[in-house]
Amino acid sequence: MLISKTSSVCTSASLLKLHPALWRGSQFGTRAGPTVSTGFSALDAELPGKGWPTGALIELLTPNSGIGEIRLLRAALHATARQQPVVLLQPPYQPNIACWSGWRFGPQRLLCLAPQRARDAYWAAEQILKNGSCAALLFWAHPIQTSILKRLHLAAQNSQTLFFMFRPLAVQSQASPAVLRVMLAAEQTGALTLSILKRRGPACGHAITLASPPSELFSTVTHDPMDRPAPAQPRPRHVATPLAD
Amino acid sequence: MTPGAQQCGLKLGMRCATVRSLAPECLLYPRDQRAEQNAYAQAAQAALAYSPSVYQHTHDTLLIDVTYSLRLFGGVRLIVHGLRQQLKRLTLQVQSSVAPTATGAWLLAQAAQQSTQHLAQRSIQRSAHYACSQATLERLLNPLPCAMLPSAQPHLVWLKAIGCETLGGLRALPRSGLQRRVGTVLLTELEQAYTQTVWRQTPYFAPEQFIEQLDLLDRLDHTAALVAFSERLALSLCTWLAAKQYALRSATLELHHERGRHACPPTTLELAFGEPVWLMDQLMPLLRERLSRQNLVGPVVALTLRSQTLASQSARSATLFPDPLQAPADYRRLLDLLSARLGTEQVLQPAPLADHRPEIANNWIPLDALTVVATSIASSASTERPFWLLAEPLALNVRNDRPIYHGPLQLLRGPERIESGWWDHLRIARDYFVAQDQHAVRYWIYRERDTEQARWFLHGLFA
Repeated sequence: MLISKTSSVCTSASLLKLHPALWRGSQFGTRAGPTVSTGFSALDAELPGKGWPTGALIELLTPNSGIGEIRLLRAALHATARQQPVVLLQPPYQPNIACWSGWRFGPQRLLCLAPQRARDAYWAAEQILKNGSCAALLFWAHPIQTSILKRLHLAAQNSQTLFFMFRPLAVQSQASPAVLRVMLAAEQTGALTLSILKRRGPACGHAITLASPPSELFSTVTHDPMDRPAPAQPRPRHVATPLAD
Repeated sequence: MTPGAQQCGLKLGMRCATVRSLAPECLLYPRDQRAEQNAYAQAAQAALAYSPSVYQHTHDTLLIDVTYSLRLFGGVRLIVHGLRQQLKRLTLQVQSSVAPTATGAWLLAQAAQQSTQHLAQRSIQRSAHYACSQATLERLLNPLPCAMLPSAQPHLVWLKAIGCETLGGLRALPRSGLQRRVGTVLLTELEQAYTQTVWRQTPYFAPEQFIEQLDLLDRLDHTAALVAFSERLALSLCTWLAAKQYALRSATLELHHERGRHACPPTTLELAFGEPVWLMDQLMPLLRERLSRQNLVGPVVALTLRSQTLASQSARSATLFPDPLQAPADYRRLLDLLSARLGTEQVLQPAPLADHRPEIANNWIPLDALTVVATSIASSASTERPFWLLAEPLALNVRNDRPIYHGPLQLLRGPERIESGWWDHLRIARDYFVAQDQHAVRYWIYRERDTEQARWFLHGLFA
């Protein structure tokens, strides 16, 4: 009895060594590809591979725009190669270059695509992932079929591109091929609450609260001094006439 | 002659009537000299990828000196295999042979050609035309008939009369006696075949400009079908580029329409590459997208591909791991491809302007290969700007002196006064605030200052 038990333990241990795609339900899956740190240690601790996986579909479910969804990715985008571009595909609004430059990114690193048809958007996403020269692809598409998601996920696997898809909260009950699904919610204090719906590892029961850096939004505003005319110079009433010799 | 026709039992040199009676379903085309020369040039250009010494021997034979390429390509077997694969892609049928001497190789190829034609026993002869050593060459050449040497033609009757029918027998005859009877030309040619390894002729040079026309057998009015034919042309272009060590910056593809009564000028497609290309998988995606976006004015009967601007190939090392230095070139190719399908006006790049008005400073311009945005505006890092800007500011309702957007908004910070543009008609005078709604979405809103009643507008979102 004892022998058989040890042997079964040995088999499962050797099975885990057999292939990196195998892991126990109670532990984190090992990522074959590199990951990019999120910049938040609380979030890193909950993700397999301690960061956003590259070359995989990551879904971010947001109730609406403007809750700090890009600020969440800011540190990760900084951590990727400095010169590689970031592509925004079908963004909901026009991105503001001043904000992007304020985050100390070069403006030439940003590319914005606004295809007219949904089919063109899927095609563009696939081409960007296949090409692999971009640091990150941020894709807003709704509705999107699961077959297209699968196809994009497959295309992403051959590249080192960070691939984020922004989708509404309503799709959280639908199945998805994404390796990581994170639901975002904003709090009145400016903090961002994340619930991990799906990851390669045990289910994450608790929500992760990420405080936004306080210096950003609530900094004491330092206005530039107003342009006032300089006070007039006092003029002498009597001009001394030079004395003639 | 296609392989299908060969299977029907057709042979070269048959009369038209015989062919029609043997295989009534086969199609006969007149001989096209230009197409033959084209195919010959294509084969020569394909061979140039393996060796610079390519010689045109007879009207249908190419001699390639691969002595100095053996080490680079890993042996003669790999060279022959690679070349045959490339020619197969170009839909050319060839008979190949290998020998230490040029004339010897030509004789072996001729023999192989005849054996496939007359005996139709290709399987046994396949390896027998490759002679890598002098001994093998002699063994293979000896049984060949004398008639294969061009200079032996006037003496064939006499040679047959003395019982000398093979090259081996001819070589065994005493030299001086033979020279007296048949002259020096035949002997020289015989020695060339057996021993002369150096071939002194002018090598073939590929033309400086690539122009190739493909006449379609049918009228095509679908761009999808045209893609398949333009792939042929592109393959031949890439062969030429490889032979010349060139890379392509721009090319034109002309679609010729109906000639004669309904003639109309050809449609010209300009293919411009942001990054020079020379491989099929770099060239074809753009060509495919350009063709599929094209609206044909009429059926197409012929295609012409021309190279326009050329550059030299950049040395790209074939590495196991992705090279970060290649990424910019890949990115420019991606931009070419995206703008080919989506249109340049859908691919936007930032071109920030130095202006205090947010909607003017946030300037996005369509991607154009010619304009490279190098302006970097020193931004004021002291104030936070929203990530999203609305294209048009949205007027907000006001209730109890508070702006409303999906519920009442709470002002968090502000005001930040922006007043600028008195010199043109886009003058603004605004107080900007950061506001937050009950779902904790942060907005960038402003109040116009010039009006009597406070009017609030939504201008951005903090993402």
